[in-house]
Parts: sequence; C-alpha cells; structure tokens
Amino acid sequence: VLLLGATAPLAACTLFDDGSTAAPTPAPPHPDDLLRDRVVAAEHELIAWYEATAREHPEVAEALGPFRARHERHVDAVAATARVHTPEATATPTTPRPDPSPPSIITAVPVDPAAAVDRLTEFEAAAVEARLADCLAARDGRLATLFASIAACEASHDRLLRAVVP
Amino acid sequence: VSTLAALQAALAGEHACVYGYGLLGAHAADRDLPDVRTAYDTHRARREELAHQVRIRLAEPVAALPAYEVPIEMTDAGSARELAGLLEQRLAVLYADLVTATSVPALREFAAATLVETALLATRWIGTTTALPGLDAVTEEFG
Repeated sequence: VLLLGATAPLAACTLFDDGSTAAPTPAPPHPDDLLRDRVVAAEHELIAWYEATAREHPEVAEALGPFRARHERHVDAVAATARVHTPEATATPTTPRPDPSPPSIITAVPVDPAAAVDRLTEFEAAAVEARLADCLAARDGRLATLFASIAACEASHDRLLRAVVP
Repeated sequence: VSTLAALQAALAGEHACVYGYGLLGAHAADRDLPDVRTAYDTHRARREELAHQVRIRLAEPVAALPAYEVPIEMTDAGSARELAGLLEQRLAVLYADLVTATSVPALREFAAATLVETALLATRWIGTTTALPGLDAVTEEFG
C-alpha cells in the first residue's frame, strides 16, 4: 500500500471509506474558484507576454508599461474576490489545485516590433471573448461584473495598442 | 439592487446620455461628428431595449427629464470629447450594476456586452482606459 503513495488521493478514498464515518470526501472546488484561478492564470500569461515584448523591443517598452500595469490590477482585483473559507473547509484535505500562475513559456516574440505589438492585440481580443464567457459562467454576480469589466478594459487595450505600433 | 431597479437606473442614464450627445454636436470637431451621431443613435436604440425590458417586468419605464445638468462647460471640440467620455464612463457604472443585479443569462450578456461598448466609446473620446471600467471611481457626476 505504501508503494502506491503516488496515487494517494484515489487510493486513500478507497482505503479509508470502509463504512466508518471518519474521512469525509473532499468537497470539490467551487466553480467560481476554478474560474477565478483560470482568469488569474490568463492575466499572468498576458503580463508575461508584455514583459517579453518589452524585453525584445525596448523602443516600445515605455508605451507598454501602462497596459501591463492594468493587467496587474486585474490580477489583484480577482484575487481580492477570493471566497473566505471556513476553518473547517480549509482543514479538509482537497485535491491540489492547479498552480494559478504558471505563465506558459514565451516561445517567440516576433522580431518585427510592429508584428510583436500586433500579436499583443490578438491576445487582448481573445481575452475579451474569454472574459465575457467567464462572466456568463460565474455564479456570483459581483465576480461576473468584475470579469465583464476586465473584458471592457481589454477591448480598449485592443484599440489603444494600435497607437503603440512603432 | 433588483434587476428592475438596475434596468431603470440604466435607462435613466441613457436618457441623460442622449441629452448630452444632443448638446455635443454643436461643439464637436468635424472629424468627430460621424462618431457623435453613431453614438447618439446607439444610445437611443439602447433606451428602447431597456424600456422593453422594464415593460416585460410589468413596470413603467422611467421618463427622460426635460433637461440635465452638464458637468463640463463645453467651449470647444476638446471639452466636447471630454463630456462624451464622461457620459460613457458614467454609463459603464450603471451597466456594471446591471451585470451584478441580474442572473438572467440573456440580460447579463446584454449588460456585459454594453459595458464593453461603453468602455470602448470612453476610450475613443478620452484616448485611454482605466483598469476596471464601470468599477473604477468616476470622479464627476452627471445626471
């Protein structure tokens, strides 16, 4: 049994759920928590793209600064809505959540600065659609509103980036 | 806030916005006029949609006031753009409230899409955006 440690979560349930009332099944994460994690991850990824673009193209770094800063505000705002867990809930072992902030590896910022900024507009446009879908999926009205507001900012980014192109 | 109250607040905001855009035309730059007219028509159409949403909830849509106090003295094309931007930012707050207030999917979708549209127009007039349109404080009041 000890050798099966790697598959612990499933195995543990089977082993301990032997009719005793002891080990409660871990509550599944609230759907809004999953949405929140996903949005934070998406925002971190956008921030990583802005950083990489600014690094590759220092001539646009200053202009991109405010865009990146607004995405950082999005991360903070979403994190601030995190539901308060009761002590009992936090003590319950839960399946490990995906790391909320794994910026994917930036493979290729285009060599041409205009193309690099253009790529940012594509990411912003895609983010608008994703955040609007998240808005509709959110259970909590205030979280839905926050996602809609982030979408509104990102739609504006899509427009404003066109003035950044060198 | 009930969905109905949020709808009525958004409708009242659109009334004020239509009034404001009506004043703008006299001061707007020639190159801004097409966008002023488009925005004016957009806001009038939204008034109709909101009034419809109020009626299907068996209420009487809030009426427009004869006049609204304008918080920015319009003297030139720049102040006209500034007023237009402020109108849109103010409206964005009301649509954000409507997103929060309703759990009806179609209405939430309308409110969210309209929040995006108002933010885009504000950006068009002001040339920049806040991080959280509709949730960031709007410093000046209109209405």
